[in-house]
Amino acid sequence: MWFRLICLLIAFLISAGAECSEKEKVKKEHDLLKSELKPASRPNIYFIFDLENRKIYFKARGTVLRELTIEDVKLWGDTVAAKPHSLLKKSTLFKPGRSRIKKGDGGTDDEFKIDALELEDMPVHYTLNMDEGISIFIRPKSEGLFSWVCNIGYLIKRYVSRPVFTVLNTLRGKPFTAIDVVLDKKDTQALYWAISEGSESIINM
Amino acid sequence: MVKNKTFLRIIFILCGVLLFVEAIGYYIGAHKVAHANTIDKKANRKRLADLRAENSILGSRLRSLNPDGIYIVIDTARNRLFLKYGNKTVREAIVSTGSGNILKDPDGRRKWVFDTPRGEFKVKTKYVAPLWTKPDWAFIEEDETIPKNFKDRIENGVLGDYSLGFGDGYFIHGTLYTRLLGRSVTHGCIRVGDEDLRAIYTASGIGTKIYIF
Repeated sequence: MWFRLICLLIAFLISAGAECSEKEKVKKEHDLLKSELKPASRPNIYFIFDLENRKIYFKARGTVLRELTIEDVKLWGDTVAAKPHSLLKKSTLFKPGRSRIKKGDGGTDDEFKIDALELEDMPVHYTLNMDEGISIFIRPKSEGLFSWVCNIGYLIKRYVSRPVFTVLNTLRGKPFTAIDVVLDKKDTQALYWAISEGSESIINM
Repeated sequence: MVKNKTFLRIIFILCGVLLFVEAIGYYIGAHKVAHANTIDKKANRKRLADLRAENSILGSRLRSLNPDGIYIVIDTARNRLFLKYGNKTVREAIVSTGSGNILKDPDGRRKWVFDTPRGEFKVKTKYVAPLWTKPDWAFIEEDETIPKNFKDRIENGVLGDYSLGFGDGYFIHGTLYTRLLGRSVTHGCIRVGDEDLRAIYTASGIGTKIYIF
C-alpha cells in the first residue's frame, strides 16, 4: 500500500516538474515571439543574439537573412529582458576609415588599385554598447601568439574586472550586463559590417 | 623582516578582499541569470495550453510579415546577391556593392558617401537597355565640368542590358567591369554579371522585395 502511494507521489512530482520546465520553455518562446514582432513590423534589418542556441541571426520581416555560429559565450550581471535593444555605439580601438576620392581619380578599373572599405578592413575585437547597460564584447577564436597574449587580458577581464563591475553596479543600482561572444574571425567582421548604430537586437539568454 | 611580514599581510588581505568581491560578483551574476524567465509576470500566470495557443498566433503573425513570393537578399559584406523563395535560394550571384568612399564638391558644399543603402526596399522600376543619366558626382570625380544640357549627361551601354531601380537613384544593373565583381567598388548601386542580371530581371517584378544588409 505504502509502496504504491510513494510510486504515485513520485509519478505526480515528475509530471508536475516536467510541466513546469515545459511551461518555462513555452513562456520563453512566447516572450521572444512577442518581442520580435516589433522590429519585424518595421522595414529595417534587426539582429537576434540567440545565446542559448549559440547563434546570431540577421533578420528582416521575420526572415533569416544570415546566420552566424557562436563559438563560445560568457555572461555577467543582470538578465536581459526579451525586448528589442538598440545599439548605442560600436566601440573599437582601430575604427575602419573611409578613403576620400581625389578629383580625376575615378577610373577604378585596375583591380590592384582599389581603394574601398571592404570586409577585411573591419575590426575583429570590438564592443557593442546597447541601451540598459548591455555591452557585448565580440572577439575571434584564439589563434597564434598574439591571441595568446590577448588571452591573458581576457582572463583578467573574466576573473577580475567583470565580477568587480558586477558588484559595483549592483551596489550603485545601475543596470549592468556584460556578454563575451567568440566568433569565427570572418564572422566577427561580418557582424561589425552589418550592425549599425541605432539598429535593434533581441538577446535570448 | 617586520616590514616584510606587514607587506605579506597586506597582500594576503588584498587577495582575500578580491576573492570575496569575485565570489559576490559570481553569486549575483549566477543568481540574476537563473531568474531569466521571471520577468513577464502576466505570462507566468497563464496556463500552458493558453501560452501554446498564443505562441501559435504570434508565430503566424510573424510569418505573415515574411516576404511573399520571390525576393532579393544582398549581402554587401560578401558582395553576394541571393534570389530567394521562402527559405530556398533560387540563385546566388557575385556582385559589386558600394565602396564606402567619400567625394567632396570643390566648393565644399556637397559631400557624397558611396555606400549601398541598407534595409528593406522594393523594385520600383524595370528597364531594358537602360541609359545612365550621369549625376553631378560622376563629373566631379572625373574632374570635368558639370554640363548644363541634360542630354550631355546621358551615357549608353554602361549599365548592361537591364536595370532594376529601388529608389533614390540606386539600381541593380549590369557592368562592363566584370572582373571587379566580388569587390566593393561601386557608387552605391549593385553591379551584377550579365547572366545573373537576366535571371534576376526575369524573376522579379515591380514590388519585389529587396533586403540589403
